[in-house]
Amino acid sequence: MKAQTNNGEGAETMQPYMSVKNVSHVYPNGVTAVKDIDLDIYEGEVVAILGSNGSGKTTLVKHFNGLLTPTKGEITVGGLNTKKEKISKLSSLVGYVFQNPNHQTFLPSVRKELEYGCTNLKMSESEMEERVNKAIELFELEDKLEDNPFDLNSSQRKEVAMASIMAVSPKVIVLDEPTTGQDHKGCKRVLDLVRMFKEHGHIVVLITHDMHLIGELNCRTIVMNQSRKIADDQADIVFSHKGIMKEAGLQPPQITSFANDLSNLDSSKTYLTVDSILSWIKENKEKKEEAVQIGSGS
Amino acid sequence: MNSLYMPKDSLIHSLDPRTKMIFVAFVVASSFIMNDPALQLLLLVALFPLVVIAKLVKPYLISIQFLLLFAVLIMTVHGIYNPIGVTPVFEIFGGLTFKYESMVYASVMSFRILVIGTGAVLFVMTTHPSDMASALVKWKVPHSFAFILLSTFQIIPIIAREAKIVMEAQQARCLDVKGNIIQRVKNLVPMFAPLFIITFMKVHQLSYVLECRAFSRKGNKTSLRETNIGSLDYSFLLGMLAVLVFEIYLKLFMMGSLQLTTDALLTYSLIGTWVVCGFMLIKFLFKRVQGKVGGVN
Amino acid sequence: MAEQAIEVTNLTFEYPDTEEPVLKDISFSIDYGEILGIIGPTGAGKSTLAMCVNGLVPQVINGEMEGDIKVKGMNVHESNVAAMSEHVGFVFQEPENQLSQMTIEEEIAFGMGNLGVPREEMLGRIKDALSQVSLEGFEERSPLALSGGQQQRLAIAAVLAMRPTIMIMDEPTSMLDPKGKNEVYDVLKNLKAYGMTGIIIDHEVERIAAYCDKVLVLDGGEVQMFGTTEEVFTKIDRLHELTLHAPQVTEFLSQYNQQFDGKLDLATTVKKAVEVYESANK
Repeated sequence: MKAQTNNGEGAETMQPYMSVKNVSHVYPNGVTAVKDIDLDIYEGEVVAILGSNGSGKTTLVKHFNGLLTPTKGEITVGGLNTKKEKISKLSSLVGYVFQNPNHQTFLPSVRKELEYGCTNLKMSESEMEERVNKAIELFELEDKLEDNPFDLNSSQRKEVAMASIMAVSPKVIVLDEPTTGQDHKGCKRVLDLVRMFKEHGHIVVLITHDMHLIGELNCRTIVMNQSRKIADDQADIVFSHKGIMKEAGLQPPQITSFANDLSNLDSSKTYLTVDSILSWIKENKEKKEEAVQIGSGS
Repeated sequence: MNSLYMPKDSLIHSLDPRTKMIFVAFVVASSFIMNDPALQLLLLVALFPLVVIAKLVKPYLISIQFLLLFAVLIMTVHGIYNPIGVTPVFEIFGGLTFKYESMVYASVMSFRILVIGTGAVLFVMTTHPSDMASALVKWKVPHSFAFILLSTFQIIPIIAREAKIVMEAQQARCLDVKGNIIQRVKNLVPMFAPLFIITFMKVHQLSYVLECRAFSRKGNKTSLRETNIGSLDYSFLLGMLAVLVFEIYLKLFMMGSLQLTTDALLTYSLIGTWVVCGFMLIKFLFKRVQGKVGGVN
Repeated sequence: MAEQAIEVTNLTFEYPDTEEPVLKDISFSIDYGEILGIIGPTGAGKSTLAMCVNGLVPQVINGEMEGDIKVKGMNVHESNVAAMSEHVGFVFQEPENQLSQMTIEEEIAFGMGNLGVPREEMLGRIKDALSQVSLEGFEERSPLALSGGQQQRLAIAAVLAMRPTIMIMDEPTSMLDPKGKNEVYDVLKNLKAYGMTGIIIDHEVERIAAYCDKVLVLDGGEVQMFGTTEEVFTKIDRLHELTLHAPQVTEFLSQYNQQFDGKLDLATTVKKAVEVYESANK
């Protein structure tokens, strides 16, 4: 199964931004967390990584900004070999938003949080201001700048953590479980943010269990199971492989199960959203009507 | 790994935690009563069969290594430099002289560390922390204190794990954790502030959970783990008492006539600890080199 | 009216450091054996409401409370949380934060020990509780060595062993992976079969629709909707106004009706939705 990139043609000839070559990682205690992973990620892609806890997805992603280095194989990010670079340098290219914002945020105001990464990189005052302002605009944080992140509710705090990573303006942004514990509105906000990041030219990597989110994005989806990559394709194609889904303990969104149970839908397709079924029905009705018209016309 | 407890089926394991707590007190007392290197050594040798009975020889030797390191240091440094020494015993590197009185002092001190260490290791490795907690409760220690003691065992690995996540999370914010000393001191804030908040939140949440599990309920509490003082405990306690009486007798009436400590004993025990430490060092270096060689492959 | 399992009347609650009450004039009741799902946006007051039912609010988490809460006919604020724990079990969101003991059997025994349950009875109850959450054979293991789903099941078992008749679960699956979520919901299904009364807070409306008898929608501290699962989830426009949504199949049927002038019944589960749709499109 060859990965089809989101931006379609020309992708094959393009250089991948991030390239994982035959990577394995064995922890000092002897546990192999990822095994023989090959993966190329291109400009403009949104990539979701799925799999149950302990399947190796977090270990894999920690390689992207150098938190871990492969015990076998090699990874290049923006042309740099992760083994030879500092984590701080790599983190300015690959922003990693942790699942729990409390692990990352600790400063007394939102503005300080946003400036923190740039300060660590010893950026000039003017460059920092430019980047931070961009993040403020992107996340619409203008009137929250002096707030203490701990006075905000959990989804706002998550967003501040995300903004503080984006303030360094990394090329790649990794979101670890961005929708966990979020209400419907929060989940929709995450969806909008992901789309916005993509529009602004970022590569987005999502570690998630949220099948609705992936269904809406219908993005490139990688499934990890027992340290290995078992699927790498467009979400609807991955979701249609019942064997893979079962092996990884995944359940497609409810609407997909519903569509699978219907007898008169186009069974060669997998439907991930309510809208996709509706538009199919619409098309089909129009076709039928046309057919009827042609039939009655002759 | 939650604690140092090693579940084994042995006589020592089946003793009541209270007996073992008394045993630790007994060992400490003995090590102070027997204020002589030879007698200390005797005590150490006498404790070893208990380690064998507890089936803990290997883990015991591993954990005692570190104490041995202390012993070597104390014996060497004190033996040469402690000013109470007058009588030279032997010389190394032409000029560094070990003196008798200093060696006696240093040996007593380092053997005491080993003796108390052995007693403590025996207790910790053979007593389930929950049993210790419920034994404490039987001694009328408040429930909440016993609980705090026990939950400390539980929270340490959790904090250690969270600390690692926080460090990674801060590195992901471009923080350089490998810097000079000033940089490292500065890094303590981004490390400890989140860790403190997270731990606080966890403990706070746990307090609600405890409330929901009726922890603050007044009245009689029961425990799943039953600890009972049985005949084995009584014989053990009697044995300890007998030894203690004998020790006191020895100390009070025999000390004058008994002269076990000699130059040879002191010298041999010093050299003995050196040799053991040398072995440890060689083993450590060997493993390092092996690791390096293995890493290249 | 006959005695209800949980009866809340005109409940208003305000935290000391806020200007507006977090719960405003809330009234509802659920009968024995019913499972109530509470949904609503973040900050709606769902957790606070749940904690009122066993007395954590306002006895441990302080604030100003008005109104009445009766559990099995008993007035909650005349009792205390520890005494209520025999009647109302509470499961929290984070599995790990609920565990404090060295082994699984001790974890389950902890609550019972506080209630003074004799040791002989404990052993039987531990066995029962473990089989109810399918963790048999794990007695001697450390709770920290379990997966998230297993830890949450253990937390449930620890509560079950105290033999409450009512279970409250505050987002019990939101921190778990799909496998863990399924494990926990399977346990819930069993509890329902045993006739347990329950309250579940969850954002996943598909799950709520499949497991709950009644649904309460909370927003801004007020009850916005309360009724059977069908009643609540078929009022889709109202849910959307509250920034919530119905199960995907219900959303689909409703949009189908709008776009194609259909008259399909709004089912809330996959099985029923398939039946409805198939019978209309033969």
